[in-house]
Amino acid sequence: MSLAIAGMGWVTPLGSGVDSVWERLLHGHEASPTTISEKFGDRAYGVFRVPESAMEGFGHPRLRRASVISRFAAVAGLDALRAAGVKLDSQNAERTALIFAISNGGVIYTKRFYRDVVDAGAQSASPLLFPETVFNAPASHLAAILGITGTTYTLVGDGAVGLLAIRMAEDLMANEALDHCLIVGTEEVDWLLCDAYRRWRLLRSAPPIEPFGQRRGMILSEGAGAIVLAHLPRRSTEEVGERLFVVESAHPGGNFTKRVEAGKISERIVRDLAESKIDFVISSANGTFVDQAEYRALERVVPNAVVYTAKPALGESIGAAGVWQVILAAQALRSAELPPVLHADAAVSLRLPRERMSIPEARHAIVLSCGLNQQAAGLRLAIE
Amino acid sequence: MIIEALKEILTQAPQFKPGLTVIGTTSGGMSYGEDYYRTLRQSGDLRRAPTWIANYPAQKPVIDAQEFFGISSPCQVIANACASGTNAIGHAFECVRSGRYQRVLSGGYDALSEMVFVGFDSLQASTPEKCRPFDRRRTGMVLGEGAAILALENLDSANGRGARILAEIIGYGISTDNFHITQPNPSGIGPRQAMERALANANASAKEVDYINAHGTATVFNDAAEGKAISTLFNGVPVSSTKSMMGHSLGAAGAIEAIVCLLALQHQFLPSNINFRESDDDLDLNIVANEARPARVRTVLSNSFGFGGTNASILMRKFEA
Repeated sequence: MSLAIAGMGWVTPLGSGVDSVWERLLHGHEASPTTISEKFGDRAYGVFRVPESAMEGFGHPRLRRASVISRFAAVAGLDALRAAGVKLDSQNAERTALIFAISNGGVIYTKRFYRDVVDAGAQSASPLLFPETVFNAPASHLAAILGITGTTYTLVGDGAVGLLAIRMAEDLMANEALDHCLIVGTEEVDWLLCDAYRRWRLLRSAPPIEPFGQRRGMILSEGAGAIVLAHLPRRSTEEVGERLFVVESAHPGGNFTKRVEAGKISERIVRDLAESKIDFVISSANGTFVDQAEYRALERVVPNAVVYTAKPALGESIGAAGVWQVILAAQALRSAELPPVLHADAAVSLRLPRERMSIPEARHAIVLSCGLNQQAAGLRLAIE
Repeated sequence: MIIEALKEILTQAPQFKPGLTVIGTTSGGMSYGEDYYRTLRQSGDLRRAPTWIANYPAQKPVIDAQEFFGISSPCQVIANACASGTNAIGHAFECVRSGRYQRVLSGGYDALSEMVFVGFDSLQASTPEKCRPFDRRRTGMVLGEGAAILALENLDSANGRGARILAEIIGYGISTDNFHITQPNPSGIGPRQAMERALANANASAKEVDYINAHGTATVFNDAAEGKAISTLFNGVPVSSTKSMMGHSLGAAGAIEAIVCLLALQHQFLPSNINFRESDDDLDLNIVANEARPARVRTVLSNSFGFGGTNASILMRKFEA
């Protein structure tokens, strides 16, 4: 089943607005790191945070007590719906589904809630914070803001969860009762996450992320990405704009139990998606074992494809990452250009755009996402 | 817990090879996250930290349990609070019905954790007393834990391999009521829409339903809203909340209660709502009070509702070849 991308929105460490962030990526910009520390921790970590300016002018009473993850999601989701020209009302709200992709969820409030319990005992637990610790809190806030009364799902996973959410949307939209599906991937960053990933030998304490290199580790980031999917026959090119992005195939994905098996599953996904011609790949390479898994898969199956990863510029945003990758693929197809891959070693033999690269003939892209916690997924995107 | 549930399935249907696994949970590996944070905060021994961190992600126990039995199907882990288990089964049902998958493993799991226990207590939603769903003097929920998995298969495929078919899932309804992050709309509109949509999805009428396994947490607000929705749609259909016996196992609850419904269909009985002493004058319900009883049961409805105003209902029918 093929679906059209009718609208996109994102909130990133390089700002918000699909075109303006894309322009900054094309110019080789990299987000500025912020150092975060914790009173009881002995280390500080560099992260890529969303700048305040990215959320300027946005506010909603429902979010007055919500964590930033819910605000990121709302800004990106509303942007995507606006770009798609979808106005939800009591007539069509039931025919629009909302799927959230997250990994760690509302970790800031979760930590605050549990900190009070650890420090002062159960009687200090806050009934205001507890609901915000639940994985589906951001989704329920956005559903309430939009007035969605039908299907709302929160899908939890690793960095592959954004693409798995798009596959889930494909599954849902096989049901003709739906007109649109809004997919939102989102994540917020906290010192606790940095410390956990560092102990798991996946994080470095300061930038840069060096893709496909010596596995020195990733830098965490935060934000949200959103896309609106629509049935193809119902959305003509005139409705959507001059170009139509089509999710030709969202792969069901796969699992690996050991990191060394990640290459095998990534290779299978690329092989399934590359049955017909592909022009470039948006990789999830982030300076960890993921890079070697994807390196191996791409070298074996599509050695001539150009490969781009935005993670050195935007960081690893886990739950948001997959949807960002899809937006990157769509922007590259639309503008017929790829931004430069930052901080890649000259010895990497993949066809990486070292400078801003023109791709005038590009029509088909693969988005590949190998997660840090045993999941991998991919999809094939085309422009018509 | 997931391994034990899967073992039981694979004993009954050893040749079941799923194309997808859809599992619900509310808190995943939260207790591992707690171990990590508490130890870090109290400057304890962090040598086990990598293990705690590795076991925190919600998909981890599902993938590990699959690996234990050599199952490699991709996983979708739904975290829709306490509706997760029923959402997972409902979504899996739609995946099979649409023809995109022939066989899907589906269900839910949750293990007790300090944070969840304290969280519900902070909301004054849990009770130190007995769980008395729909009782006039109900005082709240009792938390539980568990895992339950169902093997869903396209009917032709199941018939083709001579499978023992336990029941048919015939309808699924989902709604979002957008009222409050922890409380249901008192009008009962969310549960009512989920049940109405499940009936419409199955092309069935309310009159066909012989038993309702209610969400029935025994909180004042849930039981009032759900009770109102049930009495609006159904006329005297027997209702029970089996959480009175097993507690509220959150993401597992919908899947466990789906299996209770399958057993009711299989053994032709109405499961009981124990600890029931006194009817609530505001609720017009036919409660299966305190004792299970034999009955002709052909079609059953199972409800699950959760934080964020998420509501799910599935409709199941006795399979008649």
